[in-house]
Amino acid sequence: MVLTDESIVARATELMEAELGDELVALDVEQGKCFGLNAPAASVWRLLQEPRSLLALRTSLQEEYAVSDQDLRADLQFLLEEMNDKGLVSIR
Amino acid sequence: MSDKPTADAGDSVSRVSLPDGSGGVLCTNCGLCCSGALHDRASLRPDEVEWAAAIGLEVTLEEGPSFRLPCPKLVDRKCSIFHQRPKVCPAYRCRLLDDVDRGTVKLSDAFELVATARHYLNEATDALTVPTLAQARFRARHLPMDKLAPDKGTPTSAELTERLLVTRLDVFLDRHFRGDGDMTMYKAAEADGSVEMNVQEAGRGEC
Repeated sequence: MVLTDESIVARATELMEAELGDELVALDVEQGKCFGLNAPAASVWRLLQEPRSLLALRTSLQEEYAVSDQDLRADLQFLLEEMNDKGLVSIR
Repeated sequence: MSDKPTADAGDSVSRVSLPDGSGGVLCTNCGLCCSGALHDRASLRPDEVEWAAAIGLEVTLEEGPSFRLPCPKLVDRKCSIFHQRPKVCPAYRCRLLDDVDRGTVKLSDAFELVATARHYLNEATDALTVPTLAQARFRARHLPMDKLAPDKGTPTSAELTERLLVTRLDVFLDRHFRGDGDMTMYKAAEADGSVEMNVQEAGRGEC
């Protein structure tokens, strides 16, 4: 999957959520599966309350996590592909 | 009441001893193992079965002799048969107890983990739509969503909330309390200098 800064990421499903510290345990009612989102993944999920561009996502995350732009790009791409594969987000 | 089996009377000292070190303080302020939060039942030795049934423990012989938890002898987080308790009770050590005794978790942090576990346990218990946590845990682990409410077609909001909160409880208990030998399907991401992000399916079966 090729992601650009202009790619729009949106939630593809609604989850029932329960906080686990700064992480989330979430139930996808449609799929009948529970997911565990670690703290950064939970941050991404919360940011996606409204669809955002990849650039906007990265900018917000950089304010929260002290990490290089290069690392963040790679980690975020990996996460979004995983979330997309699991039917949690859509990317266009 | 039947007499306690005497076959193990020779090790009565170890039977009444709490774990060495600060871990013993942790046990007397926790009791989650006895409460049924960690496990649904505890094993019995064959020569304890008759005695255990006679004193009111709910004995089952499925997959070997055991008694169902929560233990009815746990009163205000204290064992009311402490000097007579089954062999498994002083022998059992949860992961947190081992971590405290090894020094990898501070006692003060352990108390916080116990408090958090109790909070999650209370929320899960309040959300139960079936009589016991053990039943809810079985449903969360083994019953697919479409089998949750076969008569009604779709699960109710209460049933979904139960499933979510029981799963959260088990994720937390797997991480901090249950031993390495237990099946754990959720692991926290380890910090490695970058921001490792992950989303994993949580729980022990189809949620």
